[in-house]
Amino acid sequence: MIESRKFALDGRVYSATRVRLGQFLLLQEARESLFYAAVRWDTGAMADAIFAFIRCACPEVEAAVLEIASWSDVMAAFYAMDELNDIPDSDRFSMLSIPSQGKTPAWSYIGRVRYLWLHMLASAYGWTKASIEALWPEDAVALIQEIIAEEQIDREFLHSLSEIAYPYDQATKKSRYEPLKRPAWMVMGGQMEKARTRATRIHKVMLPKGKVVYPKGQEPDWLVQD
Amino acid sequence: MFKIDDVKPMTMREAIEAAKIIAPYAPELAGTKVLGEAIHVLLSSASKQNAVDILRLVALGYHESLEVVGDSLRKKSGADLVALLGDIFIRNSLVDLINLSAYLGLSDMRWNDGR
Repeated sequence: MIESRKFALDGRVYSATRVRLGQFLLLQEARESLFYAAVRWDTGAMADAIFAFIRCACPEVEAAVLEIASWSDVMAAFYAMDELNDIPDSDRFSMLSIPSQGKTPAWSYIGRVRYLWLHMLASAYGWTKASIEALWPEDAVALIQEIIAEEQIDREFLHSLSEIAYPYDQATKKSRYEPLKRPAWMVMGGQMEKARTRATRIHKVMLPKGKVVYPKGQEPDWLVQD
Repeated sequence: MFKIDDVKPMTMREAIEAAKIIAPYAPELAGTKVLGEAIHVLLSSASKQNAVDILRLVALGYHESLEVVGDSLRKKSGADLVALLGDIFIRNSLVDLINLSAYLGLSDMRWNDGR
């Protein structure tokens, strides 16, 4: 895990350390602003979002310096800050490794994610805004994944108690239990699920016929033991 | 009026504007191997689509207004224009500008995607 990064802007060297959740969510807000500015092809807003990202990760950098610095230095600083504040081993969280298919709700706005995270953690644990913002981003992701998984399991239980869960099938003349659909990240699994070895079924016509002759020294262990 | 020494690296706002200009040409530029070939492709594509794009790139590279650049280039030959663009893209890497336009989502192609 990278703990700090150095970068140079307009001849001055700056050093930045990894940010906590509060700043991390502001970084995501700047990234979201950059995305929306790029969709509109708005040069000013794109530059402002890049500057906001760098200043959020390293408040020491002055806005005037970013305005005059060479763009290659600015982008090098941006990429360095992006890499520094990446969630370490993010692929272990299946919620992050499998992108959400859900539509953005109509009441969404730039920066909503910040309040959503604060709301979820505060509702679940009763923590204050300051204590939530002091968490490391990876701890917050792990906790949010647990909160969402628990909510889903509770919802599945409530669903199983309702009539909607047992639709009537005309063909079999019976009601059949239809479980509540789980989000993709809960079905496809994370690091543990992916690590599990799965047997690949091969059709018999694809299998070699007769005695298999392996190259010398490359025989499988079980053949050598026999 | 244009000298190599006049070319300074672009600021972030200028580079984003340059990335926007380059974005429509990114699919053709992504397959080029050297700067000279890329400039040739850029000039021939821009002459078919929007020749003002070249003026805008030179104006951004030399931090001049479009009018000043237009007046000055009237007296220059094609070879001079290639040299001017070469200077601009040496100080402001064309590869990085293409990649910037891809990073921002302005184009689909990064430089080596054309290989």
